[in-house]
Amino acid sequence: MLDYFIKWYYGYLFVRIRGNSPERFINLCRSRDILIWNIKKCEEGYEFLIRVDHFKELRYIAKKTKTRPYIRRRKGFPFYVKKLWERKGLCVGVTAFFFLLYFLSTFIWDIQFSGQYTYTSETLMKFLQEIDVYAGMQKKNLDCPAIETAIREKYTDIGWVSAERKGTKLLIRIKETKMPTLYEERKTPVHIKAPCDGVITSIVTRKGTPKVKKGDKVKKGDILISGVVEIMGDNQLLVNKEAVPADGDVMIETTIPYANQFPRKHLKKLYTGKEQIEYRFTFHKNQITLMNPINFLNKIQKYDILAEKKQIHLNHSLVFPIEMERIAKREYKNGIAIYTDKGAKKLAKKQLSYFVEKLMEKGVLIKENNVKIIVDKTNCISEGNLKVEKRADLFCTVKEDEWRFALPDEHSGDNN
Amino acid sequence: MNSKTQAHMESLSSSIKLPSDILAGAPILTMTGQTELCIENYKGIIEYTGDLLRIQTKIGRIHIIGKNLIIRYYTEDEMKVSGWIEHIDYCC
Repeated sequence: MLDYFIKWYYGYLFVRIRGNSPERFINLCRSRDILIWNIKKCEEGYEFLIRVDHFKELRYIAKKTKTRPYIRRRKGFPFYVKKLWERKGLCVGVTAFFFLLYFLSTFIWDIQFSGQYTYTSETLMKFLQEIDVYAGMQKKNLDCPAIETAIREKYTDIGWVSAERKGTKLLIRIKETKMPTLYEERKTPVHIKAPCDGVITSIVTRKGTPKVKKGDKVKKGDILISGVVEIMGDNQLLVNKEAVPADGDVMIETTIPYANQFPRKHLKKLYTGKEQIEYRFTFHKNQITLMNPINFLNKIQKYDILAEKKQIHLNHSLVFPIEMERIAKREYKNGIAIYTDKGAKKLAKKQLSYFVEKLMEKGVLIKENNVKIIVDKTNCISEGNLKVEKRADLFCTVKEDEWRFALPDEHSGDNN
Repeated sequence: MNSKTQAHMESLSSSIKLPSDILAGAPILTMTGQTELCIENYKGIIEYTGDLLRIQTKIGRIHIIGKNLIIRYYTEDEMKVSGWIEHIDYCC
C-alpha cells in the first residue's frame, strides 16, 4: 500500500515499446537500476509501468537496443496537480468553500431550549440577549457556566440548568421544580366565612373557634371559624377574649349553575383548492422571497398560511444561519354550515368539559354533573348544575368590638 | 558450470553448513500456488512472450511455460512472475 502511494505521489507512466530486442531493453533497465513493473506482452510490443523521473534515462537504452518507447498514459499526483492548475477557478472555489465553512463554524447559529414548561422559549431568548448571548455570536465569547448561573439566579424556580455547545448549536436544558410556596402566617385577626351557600362536609380547625360542624347548612357570609377565642376561668366564667387569625380547612358542598347556548348555523371555511406557493430564504435577519410573478395579478383575498421552515445544516450539530421556508397560501371562502345533532352535542360537551377543567384548576372537586344538553332546530342549549365541593377561603377581619372585653373595675371606689 | 562441479560445490556447501545458493550460485524459486513465482539468483531474461519466459541462471536456463505471464517486477536481486504457470523446465 505504501509502495503504491509512493509511486502515485511521484507519478508514473504507462509505456509501450516496439523494436527488435525488447528482452535486452528489459535487462539493461535492470542493470541500470531503473525499476519497471507490470511488464506484459501486447500485440504491438511490450507494455510496462515506469516512474516519471526514470523515464528520461530510457533514451540511452532505447537508442542502444533500437527500440522506441511510447507514453500511453500518465498517472499520479504531479499530473493531477497540472490538471487542476488548468482550472484555477475550480481550485479557488473549493478552497474558498472550505475556508467559508470553517469560518462559519466558529459562530453559534442556533439556540435551542428543552424542558421548559412555565417559561416560553421567547422569554428565555430575550433574557439571553440581555446577557449578550445570541445567535450569531462567536464561539470564543461563549461562557456556558456563566449562562447557567445567570439563568438560575434570574429564575428561582428553575432547579437545574445545563448549557452545552454542540457544533454551532447552543443547547440549554432546563428542569423546573415546583417549589412549595412559603407559608405566610397571618398576623391580622380574621374570621373564615362561607364563600357560598352549602353544606359543611368537613372541618379541621387549627386556630380560632369553630362555629359549625359537619353536616350543617350554611349561607354565604356565615362565620365558619371565628377569629375570637374566649378564655374561660376556673369557674367557667368568661375571663378574657383574644383575637387570632383563624386557620383551618373547611370544605363546603354546593351547587354551581351552568348555562350555555350557541346557534346551529355557523360560518365555515370552504377551501377552493387554489394554492399559491412562495419560497423565503433568510440569512441572519435578512430575507429574500421568491414567488411566481403571476401571483401578483391573481391575489387571494382570504387564505390560510401553512409554512414549513428548514435550517441548512451539515449534520445535527453543525447548523448555518441560512433558513429556507416554504409558504403555501390556501384560498378559502366563507360558507354557512349547520351542526348536525351529533356535532352540536359534541361541541356542547367540549365546552362543558372546558368549564369543568377551569373549576378543577382552582381546587374545586366535581361530585355530580347534572347538566342536560338539548338540541333543537336552531340552537343547542346546555343547562343544569354541578354539585361541587370547595374550600372555604373567604377571610374577614375581626372587628375590635367583637373581641374587646371590658374587665370589671375593682378600683371603682364603691367597694362593691 | 558443469554438473560435476555443481555437485561438488553443493556437497562442500552442505558440509560447511552454508546455503547452496552462495557457493553453488543456485537459483531460488518460490512458488505460490500455480499463479505466482518469485525467482532470485539469475543473470537475465533470454526470451519473453506472453506464454513463455526463458531465464538465464548460473547453472543453466529455466523455462517457464504458461498463459498470460506478466512480470510484476524485475530488479537486480529478484523478479516476480504471475499468470497461469503450466510447467517449469530446467535446461543446461
